Amino acid sequence: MRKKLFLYLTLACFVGLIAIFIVDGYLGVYDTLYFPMGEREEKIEADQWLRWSEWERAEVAWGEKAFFSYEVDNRQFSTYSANIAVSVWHSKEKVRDLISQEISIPAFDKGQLEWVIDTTGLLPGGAPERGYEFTVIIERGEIERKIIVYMYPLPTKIVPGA
Amino acid sequence: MKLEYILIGFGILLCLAGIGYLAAEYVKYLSETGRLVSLLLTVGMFAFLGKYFEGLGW
Repeated sequence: MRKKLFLYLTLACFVGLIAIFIVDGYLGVYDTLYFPMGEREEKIEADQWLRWSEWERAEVAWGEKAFFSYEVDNRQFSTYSANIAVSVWHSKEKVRDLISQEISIPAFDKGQLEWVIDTTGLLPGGAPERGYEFTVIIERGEIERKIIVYMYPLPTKIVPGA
Repeated sequence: MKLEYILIGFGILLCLAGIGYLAAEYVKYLSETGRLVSLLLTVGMFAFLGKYFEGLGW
C-alpha cells in the first residue's frame, strides 16, 4: 500500500504540473506587437515587454512610415472586450493620439489592430540631425505597453525606379 | 512482471516528454508564483518516483 502511495503522489504532482501550465501558462490574454526595425519587422511577445521597455527600441528612418500591428490573443472561455488606445509621447508629454478603438474578441480567438506613424508628421521641421526618440504607448484596458521608437535621419533619399 | 516495468518506463517517458513540451512552449508565460510551484512539484514528482522505485527494490 505504501509503495502505491508514492506512485499516486508522483501522479498527483504530474497532474498538478499540467494544471499549472494550462491555467497559469496557457489561459489568459496575451498581446504581441509587430513593429518596424529598419527594413525588418520584429515582434514583442507577451513575456518580453518588461525587457523591451528597458533595453530595446524600434527604429525607423525619418521621412518613412512606421507600420505597427498589435495582436491580442484571447485564450479564455469568455469574450474579451477592451478599449485599445495608442498615443505618441515625447518628454512625458503627449504628442498625438493615434487610435482609440473598442475590441471584442471571442473565446480562443485573436484580434488585430494596425496603425501607421508618419514620421514627417511628428517632426515637420525636417530630419533630426542625430536621431530622435519618442514613445508609443498602447493602453489596453488597465494594461499599458510602452515601446521606444528611434527615428534616424536618412543620409540620402532613395528614389524608387531611379 | 517485466511487462509491468516496460509499461511503467514507457509511462515515465511519456510524462517527461509531456512536461518537456509544455515547458518549452509555455514556461515563458508562467507567472513567478507558477514557476515556483512548478519547480516544487517537479522536485516532489521525482522524489516520490524515487521512493516508489526504492520500495520496489531498485
